[in-house]
Amino acid sequence: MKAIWLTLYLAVIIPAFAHAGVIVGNGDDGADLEGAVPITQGPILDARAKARELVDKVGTRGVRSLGTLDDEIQKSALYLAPSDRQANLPQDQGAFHADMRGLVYARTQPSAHASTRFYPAAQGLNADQLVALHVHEALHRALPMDVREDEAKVSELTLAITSPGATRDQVEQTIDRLIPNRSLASYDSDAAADQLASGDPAFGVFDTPNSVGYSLRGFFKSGQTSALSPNRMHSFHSHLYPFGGRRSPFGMGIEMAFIESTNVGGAGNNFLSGPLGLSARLRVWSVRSFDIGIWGTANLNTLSALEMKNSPFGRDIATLGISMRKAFKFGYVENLLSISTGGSTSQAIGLVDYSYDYGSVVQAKVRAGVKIGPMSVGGYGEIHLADYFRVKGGAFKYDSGRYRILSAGPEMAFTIENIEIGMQGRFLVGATQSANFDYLGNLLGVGTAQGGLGASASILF
Amino acid sequence: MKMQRRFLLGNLFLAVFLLTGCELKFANGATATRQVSLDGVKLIAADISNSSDTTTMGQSRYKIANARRLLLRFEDLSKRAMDINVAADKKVELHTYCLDYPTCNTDAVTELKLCPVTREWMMLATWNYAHPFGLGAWQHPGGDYDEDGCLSPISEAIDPLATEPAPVKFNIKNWVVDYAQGRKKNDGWVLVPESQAVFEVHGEQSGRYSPRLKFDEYL
Repeated sequence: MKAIWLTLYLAVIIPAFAHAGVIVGNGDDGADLEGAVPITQGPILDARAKARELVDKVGTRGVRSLGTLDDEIQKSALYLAPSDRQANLPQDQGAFHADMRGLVYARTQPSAHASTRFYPAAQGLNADQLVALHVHEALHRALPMDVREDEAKVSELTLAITSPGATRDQVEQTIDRLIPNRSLASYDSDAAADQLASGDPAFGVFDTPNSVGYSLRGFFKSGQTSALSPNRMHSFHSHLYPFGGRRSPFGMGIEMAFIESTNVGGAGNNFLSGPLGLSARLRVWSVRSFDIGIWGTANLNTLSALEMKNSPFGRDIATLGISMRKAFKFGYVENLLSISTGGSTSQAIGLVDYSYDYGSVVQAKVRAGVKIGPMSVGGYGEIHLADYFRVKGGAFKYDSGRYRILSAGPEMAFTIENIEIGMQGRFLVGATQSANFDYLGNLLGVGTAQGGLGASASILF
Repeated sequence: MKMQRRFLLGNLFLAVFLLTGCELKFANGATATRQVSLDGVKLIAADISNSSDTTTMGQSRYKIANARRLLLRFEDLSKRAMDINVAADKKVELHTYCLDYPTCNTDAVTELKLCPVTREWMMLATWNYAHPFGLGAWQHPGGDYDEDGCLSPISEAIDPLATEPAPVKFNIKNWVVDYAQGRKKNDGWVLVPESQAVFEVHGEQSGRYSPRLKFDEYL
């Protein structure tokens, strides 16, 4: 018995290493489809039952990447080809696929629930060898897409599972060694296709969706028309995604802002508490290298009653949006569409109380950029379409009516391991009613005045 | 003939009844003299571009001169404009108090004008902008006003025995008729000194000498 296993081991390992990396799997050359008959009895069918007993005993159902192995053994339709075939296809070069004479034992396709074709040469194998053959062919269908056609890895896993005294621990160790954790994403065949399409092996996978960081934004104040704007805004954020999977993380973010202003809050350069941003984000799905996500944010005013009396920005805003992102190997394009609620706030200037009423705002944004190593450089264009902006106080009334603001800017990010440095600009390109970002009253979102420049540093984990 | 007389008397009675019922306020005719402090007071100066500059509002005194003007407005006037009695024997005046009484009052007659502003402005106004929203720039830096409607102070003899400073008075009755009652507009006024003149006037934070309106109001 030991001699058989030793022979089998050598027969597997030597060719496996010799052909390491050879792609094996789809054995169709057309001819072997002719005359195959379903296997309804005999040693091959008996061996399948034993193979199932074996994987059940080892406990592969609970092992990463092997959860569907038992199903693949059980559900694959078995056929017997009428005649032997020479192992003349690249896919046939593994030890489990052909004998010493070069005759093929079995072929399958590397997709879930594909059938298995046995050849007469397989009928000469003993029961243990047939069990190993069943397991091997099933592994071609059950493993993640990016490794299931790697004959060397599949052969080594076959041995790990079928060797005498195999334990779940041993199988798990082999899996950990052969299949990096990243390949988990390939369980989803769509996701694997996305990876191939995008050229990015990590596409659709968020290994480090969480981040904490700091950002600083300075605003372009252009004379009188930005009279209400603060000069700078500091913000600290923490975004955590404890829920969902690695492909569809769901979490919450908190952002606390502080504003510096010579106009808000009285005389001098004041340092005031800015809005508190709460956000929830969910990656809904990824398909054909598109990422679709939804998010909601609530920017809450945190100014005290006294401070609020002196700021037109002390209002609450809720925003709901959807994003569609297409990633390429060297770049990305992203569309974002969102709507923000209206609101109102008041400001005391001298002895007159003014109220600011903001209408709801629809925002459409297109981002695009290129990825060069750890750096991504791009830009965006954005349009804000707002219902109105009204100011009323004493004998003064102003109503902008419906207006739009068109803006654009560059954005750049540099990522070194878990640290990301980003820079972003926003420039007001054009607007009706001579509007500027003050009209939106969304300090934490688009900022204020005529636009601004910002820099951020984040730790990703 | 008798019937005709009765008919005429009936109609007369009905007309009197309707007039007294609908226009009771005017028929009553009772008025009271009011003084209301102006709450919209804003200094605009060519050398101050910050609209929130705290020296331009909420002060107890303002210095006005060439390229330094004072915007004035009673913000709630539109609610009360129709109640102001503009009868010939009634006065409707704007009072402002100088710090160096009585010299100022004498000089003001020839060197200080009160002009009706013709454009909406707010407390964020500056020398160049009436307000920071939309097309908020003044057409003429320093404020858009009706040159023909500018008023000089009422010339009054200085009382040498007076212990209290007297105000510089402007007769704004025509303004009330033309703007506040006629056009329903209340864009206020601007105090414009002559080119070399300098005046220091009390601001809205002054309790006793704040700029104010004095008029008779129907009860």
